[in-house]
Amino acid sequence: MFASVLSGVVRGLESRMITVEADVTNGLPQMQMVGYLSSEVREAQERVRSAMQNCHLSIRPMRVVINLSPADIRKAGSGFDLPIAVALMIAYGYLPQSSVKDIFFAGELSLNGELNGIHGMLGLVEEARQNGCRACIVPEDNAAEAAMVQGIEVYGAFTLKEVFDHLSGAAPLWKTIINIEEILQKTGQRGGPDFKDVKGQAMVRRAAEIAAAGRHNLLISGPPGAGKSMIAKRIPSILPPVSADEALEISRIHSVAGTLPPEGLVCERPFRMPHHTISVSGLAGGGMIPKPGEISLAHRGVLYLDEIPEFRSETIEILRQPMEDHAITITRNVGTYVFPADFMLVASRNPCKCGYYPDRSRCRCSEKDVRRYLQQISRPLLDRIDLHVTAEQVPFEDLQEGAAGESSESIRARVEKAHAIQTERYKGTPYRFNGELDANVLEKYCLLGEKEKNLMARIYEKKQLTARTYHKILKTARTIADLEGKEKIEEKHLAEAALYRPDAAFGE
Amino acid sequence: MEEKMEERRAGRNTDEEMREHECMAWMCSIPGLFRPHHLKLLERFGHAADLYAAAETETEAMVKEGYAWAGQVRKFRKKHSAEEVSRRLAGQGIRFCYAGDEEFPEKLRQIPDPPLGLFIKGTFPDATRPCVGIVGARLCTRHGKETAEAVARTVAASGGQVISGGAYGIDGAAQMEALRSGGSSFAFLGCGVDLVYPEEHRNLFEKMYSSGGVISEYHPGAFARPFLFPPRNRLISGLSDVIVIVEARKKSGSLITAAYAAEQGRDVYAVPGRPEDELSEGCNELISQGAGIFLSPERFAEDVLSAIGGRKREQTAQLLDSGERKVYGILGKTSVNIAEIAQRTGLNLSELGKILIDLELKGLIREASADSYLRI
Repeated sequence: MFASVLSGVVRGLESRMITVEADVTNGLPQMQMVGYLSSEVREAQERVRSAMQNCHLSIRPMRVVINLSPADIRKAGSGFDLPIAVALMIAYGYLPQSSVKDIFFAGELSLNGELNGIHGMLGLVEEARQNGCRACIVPEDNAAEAAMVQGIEVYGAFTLKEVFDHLSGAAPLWKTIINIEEILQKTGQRGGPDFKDVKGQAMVRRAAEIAAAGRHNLLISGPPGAGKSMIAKRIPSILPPVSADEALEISRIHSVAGTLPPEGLVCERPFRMPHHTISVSGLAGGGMIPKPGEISLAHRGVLYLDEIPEFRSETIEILRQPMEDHAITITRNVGTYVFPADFMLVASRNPCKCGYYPDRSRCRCSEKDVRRYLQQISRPLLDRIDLHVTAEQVPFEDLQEGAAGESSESIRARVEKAHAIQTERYKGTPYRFNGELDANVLEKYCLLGEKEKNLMARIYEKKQLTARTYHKILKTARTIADLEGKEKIEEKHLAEAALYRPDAAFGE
Repeated sequence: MEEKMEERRAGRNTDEEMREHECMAWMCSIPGLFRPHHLKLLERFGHAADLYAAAETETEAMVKEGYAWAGQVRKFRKKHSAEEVSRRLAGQGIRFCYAGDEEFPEKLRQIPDPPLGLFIKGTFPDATRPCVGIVGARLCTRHGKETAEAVARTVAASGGQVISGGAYGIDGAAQMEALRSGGSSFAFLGCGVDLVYPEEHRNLFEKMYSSGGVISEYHPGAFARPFLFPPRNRLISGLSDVIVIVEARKKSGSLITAAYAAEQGRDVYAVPGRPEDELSEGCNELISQGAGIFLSPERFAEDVLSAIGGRKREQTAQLLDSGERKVYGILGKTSVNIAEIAQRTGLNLSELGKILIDLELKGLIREASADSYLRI
């Protein structure tokens, strides 16, 4: 008998609907699978056979053909086990074809009939809803994630037997219902790392605030143990909380990568801190069937590159295009994939190989070595980092009795205000934040008065700035003014912005 | 109160001040009229704006009283409006500056007969750095030229600025060398700033437009005439902290400059020469009257320039406001980190950033390495 069941395949971040067809006829007993399958899909037949047997659904020896259509799309992943099993149940006559009408299936089977979760469920269920499915049956592990999609009923099952009982009407499954707003609110109250734990480092804290407010990229230099990573880890806490749309957008990527938290939704700004040995495809995304890399996992959050000079230069180089386009395009022979990658870059570095330069009582690096170490970061990347700041060794007294710093919450209030101002200002333009402004529109958005121009001219001369540094100072000053809610950039904003300029002393 | 002061220092904030600036530029641009005429006009009308607004009959009345030159005012008024003059100046890359402007050099305000207005191409000297006037004969010896160049090099190397007259000989050689050594140089002309006199120094002038300035009290288009040169010498000495006379004959314009310098309280140094040397007579004479002896560029740098630099810093340090004083007080000869300064002064980074830049621009402190500052 012929049966067909709806399922889907993940392609990059997108999903495509796949129809799983099964036909059981008389003939030589064999099971054939066709439809441009990868080996993990082909292996499904063994899992399905055992799982069904173990759920007391015997498979009589007959000629079985399974087809996954459309036949021109490469099928990969282990999510086809469940739909194949369901198709066989119908084809063997255990269930009527009408019981699976408009129901979407995806999930992996283990030999004893249990259902295991798969990657990319969020996107699959979204695609199913768009294609008019009214319900979906997924492994319980994926139920929370799938339930994020509104407008489709989601049933989570632990075993194949439960699925069978649900479809036959013997024992219906529980519907999984999730309230996104509620989850967002709950995680909002969860205490993560907070800026109030950071003692001293007034300058780095302030630079982090400005960077977060104008979405500038930030480079922190300083000796080991000064708190560079500590501060970087707290930057997500001063960014505005994610909206429901953003949460879905971020979750979709993490769903494909398999890095979703148990509640099924990424509700916090991602903070990604890849090790410096990371490969190009690890950072950018890739593989034979491309998966999102660290830059996409940091989408709408912070990508922190600790010890940036230690990264291989070809790895770092690939950051350039995604930083401009907020997405990365990966082309493989199986197709072209686009992964969003809209992240804020925070990088840190030691001032030299040993980390203590310019403290000559401890640093024994030669001037040449120091220079070489610093020049390992590619120029084009440095050009995309607006704020450069130095973290100093925190003196003992500060550690002991330094007052607790300002809390993330009150910093975030200012950052949110600055974001609101920018949203208003850049309405109808391709820009969203000050950090994204191109040189040709600086005139328009960073207008200086006579007095300010004068000061800038003098700073320019005194500090021997380059045009590029000058633009960075303008953008940063714009953000400082926004933080204060000022429409006009004032002298003090420029003066402060100049403190965070790339430093000549560091050979740049 | 302080805000108001700020406003005044920024100059030209009110419409009235702007108007006066424009009318002064207009008055100073009337061809054929110079300082005595301007003084007479201001005495009669009070302000340039009032002169500009005055009826023709009033200037006619002056002509009838015997001031024939006052006819020029009416003629000019008819042909050119104040706005047009400003526009034309801007078109020529010339700025105008009168005593009411913030930019007007403080030192020139204090000389006995300050200029009413100055036309400038380029900038004024940086008041926080030493200004050294180097003047001497036009027809000089090769040795004199070389000495002038050595002085200019020393001045440029120690961050000073060379002031002179842009003439042949000593003046031009010193200025060119200052620019070549990466310093800046400023020339006061005996003609309008739109002219290049002498023509052979066009190259020098072009360089000064970008790294220094060419300044004149006379209206654009004024040809160089002998009677215009002595008065401009008072400006060379007036703007300088110290004057070095390299070669001068017994009767020489350089001696006029030296006399002005003495009157204005500026130090005068002269390069000594052999008694029978005609070109050293003036210098030796000055020495006999008590001028300092120029022994060598090194000694000059050590004794004179560093003293001027220190004096200047002291002077500026006196004028600091409370915030600046607080920060300056914390800094010493070893560098202090910004975060530490912020902590000790309790200033936020915005305020502190502004103060640090101001102090740096005033030449009192410098950035030692990343994010730390020290006193100069």
